[in-house]
Amino acid sequence: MNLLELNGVSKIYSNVHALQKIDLTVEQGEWLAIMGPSGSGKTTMMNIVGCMDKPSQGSVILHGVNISQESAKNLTAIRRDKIGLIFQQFHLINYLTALENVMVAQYYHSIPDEVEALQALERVGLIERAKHLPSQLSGGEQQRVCIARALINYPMLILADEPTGNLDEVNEKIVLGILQQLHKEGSTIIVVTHDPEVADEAQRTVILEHGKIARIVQNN
Amino acid sequence: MFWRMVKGALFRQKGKMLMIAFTIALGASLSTAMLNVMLDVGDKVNQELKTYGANINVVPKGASLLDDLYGVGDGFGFSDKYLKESELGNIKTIFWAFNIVDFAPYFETRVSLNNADDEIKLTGTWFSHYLELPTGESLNTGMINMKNWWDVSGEWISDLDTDSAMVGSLLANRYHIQAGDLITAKSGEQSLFLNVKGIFNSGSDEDSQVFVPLSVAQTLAGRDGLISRVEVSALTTPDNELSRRAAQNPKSLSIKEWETWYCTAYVSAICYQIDEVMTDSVSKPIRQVAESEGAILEKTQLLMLLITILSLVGSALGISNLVTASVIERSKEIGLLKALGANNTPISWLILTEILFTGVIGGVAGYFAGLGFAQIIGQSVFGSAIDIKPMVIPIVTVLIFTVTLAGSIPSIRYMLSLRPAEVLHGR
Amino acid sequence: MFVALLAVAIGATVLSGLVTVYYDIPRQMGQEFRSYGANLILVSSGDQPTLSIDATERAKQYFPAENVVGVAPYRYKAAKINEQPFMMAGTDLAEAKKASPYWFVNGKWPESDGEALIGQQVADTIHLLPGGAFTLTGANIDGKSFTRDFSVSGIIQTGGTEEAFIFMSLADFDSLVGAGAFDVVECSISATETELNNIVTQITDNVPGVAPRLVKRVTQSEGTVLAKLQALVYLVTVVVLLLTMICVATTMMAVVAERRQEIGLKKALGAGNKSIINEFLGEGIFLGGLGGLLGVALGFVFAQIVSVNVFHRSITLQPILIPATLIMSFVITGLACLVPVRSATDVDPAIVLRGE
Repeated sequence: MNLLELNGVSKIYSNVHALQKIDLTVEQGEWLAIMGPSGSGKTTMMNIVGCMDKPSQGSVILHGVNISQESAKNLTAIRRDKIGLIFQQFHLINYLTALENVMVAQYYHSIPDEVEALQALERVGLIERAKHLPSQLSGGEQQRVCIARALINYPMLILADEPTGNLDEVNEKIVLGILQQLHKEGSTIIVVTHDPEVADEAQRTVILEHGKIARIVQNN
Repeated sequence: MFWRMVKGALFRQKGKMLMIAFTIALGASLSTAMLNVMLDVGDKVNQELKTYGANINVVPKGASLLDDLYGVGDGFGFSDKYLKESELGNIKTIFWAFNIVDFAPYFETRVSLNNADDEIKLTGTWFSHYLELPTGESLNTGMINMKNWWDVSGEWISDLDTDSAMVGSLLANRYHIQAGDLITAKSGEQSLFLNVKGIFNSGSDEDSQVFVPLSVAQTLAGRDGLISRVEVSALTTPDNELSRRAAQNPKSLSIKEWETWYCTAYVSAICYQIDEVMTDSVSKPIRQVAESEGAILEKTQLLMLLITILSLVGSALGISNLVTASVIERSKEIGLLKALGANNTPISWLILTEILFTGVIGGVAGYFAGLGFAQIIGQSVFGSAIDIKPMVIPIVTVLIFTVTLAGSIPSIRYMLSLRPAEVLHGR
Repeated sequence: MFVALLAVAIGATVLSGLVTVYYDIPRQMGQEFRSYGANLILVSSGDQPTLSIDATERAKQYFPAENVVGVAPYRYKAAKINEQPFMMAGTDLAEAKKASPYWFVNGKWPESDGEALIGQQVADTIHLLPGGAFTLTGANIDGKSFTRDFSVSGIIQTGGTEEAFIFMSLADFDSLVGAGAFDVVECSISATETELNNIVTQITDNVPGVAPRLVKRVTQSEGTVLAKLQALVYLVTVVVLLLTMICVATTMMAVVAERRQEIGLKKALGAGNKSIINEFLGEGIFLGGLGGLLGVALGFVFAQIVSVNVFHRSITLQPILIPATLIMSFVITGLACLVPVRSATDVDPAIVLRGE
């Protein structure tokens, strides 16, 4: 079953064509990587899939819902219920502890549950750092908190934008390990990356150039 | 969770929040101090203006005023109309008794000094008289407090110095009298030896008079218990249209207007009330003092009002400016919360709660600091405490709330209008 | 940066506005206090009981011309209406009005010959209303009797002795009584007690036959009250300035603190602490200058509004305030920039760049 379908999606910023007629389907449980040079439209595509932006043309169907037609309010609800976001810059709230940062996602989704949030932190191996503030955590640990926050509401789709871009090799391995684990458990994952090693972990790699899909590579 | 987030924001970034609270406290203390001073400045300046002395003159009905003014009244003789000394205490029992600061009775008679041919004026008065009131209270009142511009060489006499006198400087020059001399005052068949204890310079026609305790003058003239006039110094409210009409004719007012007038400390209302308690008396505002007091009071209040407005506007702009800056600073956090699926309303509430909480802390601290500033101003300028007006609290509260909301709501709205992608990816 | 500019401008406005008002208060309030009337009177010191016109003119030369509010000479003479004795007074009515602004005239001031102002007490005694007429009889300086009809232009109330007088123009008075010297000259001069004392000394020393005397009740009390008022405005100014300046500083600090990342980046690019601090100070001084200029203008507008509303007069700009306000703005923005910039430059660029 297709979780995500992009049909002729274009995005035009004033006179820059960020995306041009993109057609792409992603199956449930698939791990997809998106690669491409700077300015190729990777981030724009992520924003559209992540319900943070709307395409200028074409349709995006996520789990049977055409999200290109929805209002901003509905998009927020869809993002909250179906998508987990992982950022290159982590984007943790710096006055909340690791645990609380996870619970914020629960709070806006439904109700905060401390036990469940602790379990999520345990999964990323940070149970003993739960009460630390982001400023007391290393970059890798912050990214793991970010992953725990993305997982907490059991999203259908995990979107990771350069998840290892700010990490050293050791932490990169840990984060990739967690993503592999999630994939094994059946999560659908889309990763935007510069790094061929990260892309190699995925089942398919989409290579974007000048807002168009240049080619799609199947990995094994 | 909401409160956990509020708590985190408030206590884990103390520096930032303290700075906002501090700025709000400064604004609140400025407003509190200025409002309190402004609301009290009228009373305070009114009190200061009492240094100009009496503003009400009470004379017997039908008595002629034409008497002094540079001594040109000589030869017109004296009126034989008097007020009763025994009724003086009543002045402190009128509706506005509390506003009567001081009063002094005068009894004037003519005497020849040191057996000279021409007669001079001898005035009996209370210098600082201890008075028991019909109400059971007591007070000290008299001329010393009301003529503080007098320049006395020698010393003031007291009401008990019945063999002493004070002599005006012009008279002293003319008769070559010095402090310490003995003079004789002769009126008809009666004559009296008086010790000159002080020579005074008042810069008015009083300089050619002799002042003695009231009873001395009365005995000399053979009119015990009678007084020629009373000077009253009262705190008054500046005149307005109503009081002017009332001064012309109190009967022209409607009952309601009359009550308003009677229960306001207009100089005309106080005069009216004095007339009620003194038999056959006519009280007249001394316009020179009463009018000028009104003018100066109004100017001072208006001046303070404008300065207060400036400082309120200044602190309002200062606070909303900082609040706006602090909201804009949080653009990433707001974008993130939106990306995590938060709707606009909960985000707005979260930020507003934090800011208002900070505002309340800053406001309360500022209010008390402001009271301190007001007292510093009161003590150092007027030497007395500024009255703390409860009505300042709601004004400052409304001000702080309005200002913080005005500072935060537009910026929150602006932040929310941004798409999370723009803030988070810098796009 | 707009926020910072606004903050500096507010501070500078408050500064220049309040200081202008503060400097102007004594002058403006001094004028107000003239409503208490004469603060200096001239009487004769010689053998003559009266002041010659010549001596009066000479004495007047010692008054500071621009501060003279009114100089009203008076002549008095006893006269009768319906055989009842009253006092008639001749004066320069226009000057009397200026020197004694507290006189309340029910009706009008006399405008032509044959019109007189009568005191409330006179009016009560002989039952006259404005517009009424009376006949004044008396004797002139040569002892010859005169009779003249007057119309009442207005009735004056003062609560004082003036209520027992009949006031007329000097021309009318002279035509009835004969030309002569003044009994007294009342002067209202906008000056401090010390200045008045100087005038008194000068006149006493240089003009024989004239004895100037201060009306102590007015001069001394004015000094007392004015000193209090000035102290009040002074303290208020200090408090407002202090708080506003701190307020401006905190806002500036917030604005600069926001740019920690930029500082980290510049450090990472190899900028020294000194050059970063200089850069920020430069910006701060620019902001301070712009905000200060804005504030000088707005503050002057504020002071003008105060002056026009409270005292109904316009004020002059104190030129010294322009550099003073600018320097204050520079100092405050400079200090406010320096604190957060210093703390930011102390931080490792990596942490600043990575941090939120």
